Amino acid sequence: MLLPLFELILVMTERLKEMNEQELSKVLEALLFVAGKEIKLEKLVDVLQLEEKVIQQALFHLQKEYQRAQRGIQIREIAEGYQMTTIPEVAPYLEKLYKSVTTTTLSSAALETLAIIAYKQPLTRAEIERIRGVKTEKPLNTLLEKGLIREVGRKETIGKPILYGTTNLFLQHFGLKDLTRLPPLTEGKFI
Amino acid sequence: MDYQVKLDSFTGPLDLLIHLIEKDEIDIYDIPIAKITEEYISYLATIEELDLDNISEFMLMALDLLQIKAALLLPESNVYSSEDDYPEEMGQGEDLQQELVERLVEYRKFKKAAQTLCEWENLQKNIYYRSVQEEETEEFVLGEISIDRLVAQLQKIMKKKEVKKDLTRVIILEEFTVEERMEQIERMVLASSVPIEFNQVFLQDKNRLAIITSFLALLELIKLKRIKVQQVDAFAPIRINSCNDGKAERNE
Repeated sequence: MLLPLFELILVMTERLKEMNEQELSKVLEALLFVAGKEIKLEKLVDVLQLEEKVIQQALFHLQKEYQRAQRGIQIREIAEGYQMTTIPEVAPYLEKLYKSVTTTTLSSAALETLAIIAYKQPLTRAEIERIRGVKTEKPLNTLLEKGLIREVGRKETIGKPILYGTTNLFLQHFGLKDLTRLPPLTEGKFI
Repeated sequence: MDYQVKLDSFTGPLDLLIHLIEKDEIDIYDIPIAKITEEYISYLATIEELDLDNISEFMLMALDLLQIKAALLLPESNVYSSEDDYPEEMGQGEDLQQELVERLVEYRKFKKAAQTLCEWENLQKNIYYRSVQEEETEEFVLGEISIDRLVAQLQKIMKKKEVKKDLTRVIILEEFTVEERMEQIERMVLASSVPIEFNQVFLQDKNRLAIITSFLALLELIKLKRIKVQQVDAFAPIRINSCNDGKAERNE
């Protein structure tokens, strides 16, 4: 199934030089469909041998096209790339189709820990615990297991403690385009 | 207390304090320490089951609060205020309170961000994408072959040898150590002009222990990068190369 499509894409990429945007958007659509997860812009540049700007432009138009046509599929910018996903409205039907999609959510402790890492990375466990005022080994392990954070190095202090940072999966998990899209840190009250 | 919440619904002492402050609609920069301390401690007292893992931090915070309360109750330190001999380790009540407020404010920022992240996480659950079965699942790769495949091979060999099990022998002597076996295997690999096959390593092994010893020796050699195991395709024999001239041999 996959192979002929890839071949098609290959043939088309060879002809890219004469390609107009209409054709380019076909190729992009096919690439995003096959990839499933997000494709980085640089990867697209590499595959298509076209300028970043041209690709971005075409993707933008494709995105708008899907929106205008009110399709069940959308193209969105996520985790420093582009991805073809379903729209949120159709979720109930997809759940029915796949029945057992009970994804577990993170605990409050894990979310707190993750928020601190996201804004302050790279930082050590002790630094996280200083902010949280409580032991943080368990949430850290959960986050590591889930692949939302990773060890990014060692701090140059006594004991060379591990420094943690967020992963690409973190962006993906929360639907973030990049780290600049984190919710702003504000001092206000809750409620 | 008019209502009860379980301690484990709070992620830590700061979380509990924030809860008490917001419940009473207190300005975080102007906390009535005595009142909050009392509420905090009476709250801890209502907890029946102590989760020992976390309770120490909650208790420490109670001590901190009491310390601030006590320091605030001390007579105005006019005596010391501009003097150098002010007993620093005591810490002035206001300073301690300020410090606590700063921690609370800082913590609350992240707690809020975590809440937003939680909402986003839930939104994200309604978005699906094609899951392509990629070969990306991180396997433990040894050189160019996965550990799973090596173990599968090993099991095959074990099964074959099982048939010839010598029932009369009760005590299994350790015929050689992993280290000795490592040397033998390496010599074997170096002596051969072509890559040797995986099965060859186990030819002389008569029992499970011997096979396992050989296998451990093999893994150790791979780890030390003295040998390389390769398999051209799924059904090809697994071959063992020396690491130094492995490439040259493979290309023959």
